[in-house]
Amino acid sequence: MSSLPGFHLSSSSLPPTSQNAGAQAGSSGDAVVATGTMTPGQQQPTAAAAAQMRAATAAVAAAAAQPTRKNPAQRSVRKGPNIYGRVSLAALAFLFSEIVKMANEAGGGIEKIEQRLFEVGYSVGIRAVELAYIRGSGLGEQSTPLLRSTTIVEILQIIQTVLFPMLYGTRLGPIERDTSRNHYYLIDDDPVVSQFISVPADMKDLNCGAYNAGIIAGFLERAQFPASVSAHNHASKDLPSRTVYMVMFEQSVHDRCKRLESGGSWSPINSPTGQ
Amino acid sequence: MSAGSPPSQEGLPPNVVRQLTASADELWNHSTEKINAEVVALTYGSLVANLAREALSSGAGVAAINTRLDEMGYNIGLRLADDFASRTHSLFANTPTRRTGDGANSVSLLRRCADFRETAEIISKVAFKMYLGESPAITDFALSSPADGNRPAFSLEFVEPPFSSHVMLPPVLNGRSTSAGETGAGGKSREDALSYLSMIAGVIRGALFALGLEVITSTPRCTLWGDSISEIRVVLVRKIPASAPPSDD
Repeated sequence: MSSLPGFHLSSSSLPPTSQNAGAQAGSSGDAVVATGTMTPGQQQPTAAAAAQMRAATAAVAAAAAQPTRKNPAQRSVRKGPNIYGRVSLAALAFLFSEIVKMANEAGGGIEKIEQRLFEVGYSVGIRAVELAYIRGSGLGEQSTPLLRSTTIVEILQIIQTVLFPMLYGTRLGPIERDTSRNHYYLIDDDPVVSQFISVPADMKDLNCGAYNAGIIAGFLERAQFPASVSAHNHASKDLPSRTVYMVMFEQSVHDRCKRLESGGSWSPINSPTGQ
Repeated sequence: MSAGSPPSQEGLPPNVVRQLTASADELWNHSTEKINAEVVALTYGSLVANLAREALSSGAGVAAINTRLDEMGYNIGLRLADDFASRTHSLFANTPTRRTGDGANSVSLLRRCADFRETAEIISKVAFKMYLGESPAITDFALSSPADGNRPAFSLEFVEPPFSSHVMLPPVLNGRSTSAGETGAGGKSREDALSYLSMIAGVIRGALFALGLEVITSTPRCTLWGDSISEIRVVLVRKIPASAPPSDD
């Protein structure tokens, strides 16, 4: 650990002992990707995808079988979701239903259940920040780094166009804003997780969007835009599970944005209270 | 595989295995809605983190977390058996196994598995493939395993265990905070270490229970503990007689 090359957080900054393993996995992984794209006409897409995934699995297996085992926290995430595979939607459905069941058994009342879902989502959100920025940079040769967001609209757009597509494959609707109260609204036409849950009649106010609200809240917190987020059901005729996430940023965020707009700095240097 | 052939230690005939794998691949490629594996990894990780936080703050201990995860997996498994059967009933319509006496295309997989080895193959090649996209290797299969009380048993080995893609265990959950620093030499799960795959082991247990087999599952090895592979061990206790009422409450 003492001889990590520099501070740049690139995918090549592995400890020297496992550099061979890392280079091997890197090159074989890239070779797999290259092969997959060079022969599209020869193979059926499904066979190519299956072969690619098997080869990717083999590459990961080869890397993992090296005598000096790579620390999983240092494994490169740059190769995108394919090397870690995709799982069936059913897996998420079963897992989420157990989480909701656990939240239901733990405490009484709808608010308590939503609070527990929010907490689980919050844990997801705080870990999703780095992944979102890496994935959002794009893969392959034309990867342009996604810069850190400094304005409210930018960070909400990241959530709308990067975070939710990465997690669920769906974009959120356009961002709306209530200027009178400085609230922002993100609209989710059909939350994926709500599809798995059927709510009994005596709990019809329960909104499993609380889980997604937790993800957003955790994400914003770690992206340095602390906010309180809540989920509200705004069902329309053909979208019964339409959910709106209401985002209320803390005052420090609004102050900072005003400061930046007027040419000031990110952190309040001369402010009496500090950050 | 004709009816009446003795259960073989060498496993299913290769053409049956190929057919199973091909059908499972097709189910995976065409009929399964897929989602990014990381979201499930993150969700499961958050769930484990929340459970661990509660258990440690209430003094319940690490074994309680493993039990809780196993129970949740068991509940999932009970329902997953139905889901699995409904997705694959067409898969088994043409495989050369014994047909049931009533001639119905019933979805009881037990009646279509001639022996425990076939069960293991189906779990690995079809079920895991369909739900998690990868099929683990079956190792250490024994019709009468001395280490497991002379019962049929097999192990599922994961080089890259599901949901563990970005996970590390802190020492308090790793079983290393005590003075005993040796890794477990196969066999029993370590009592003081969080068993990340407990939920999957529970799913296997629940699904097989719903299909008529009572098994014991354990996780003797785990990459998060420093072992080279993760392993789930499945030991058959008994076949549940069809006439007995379901024993879960």
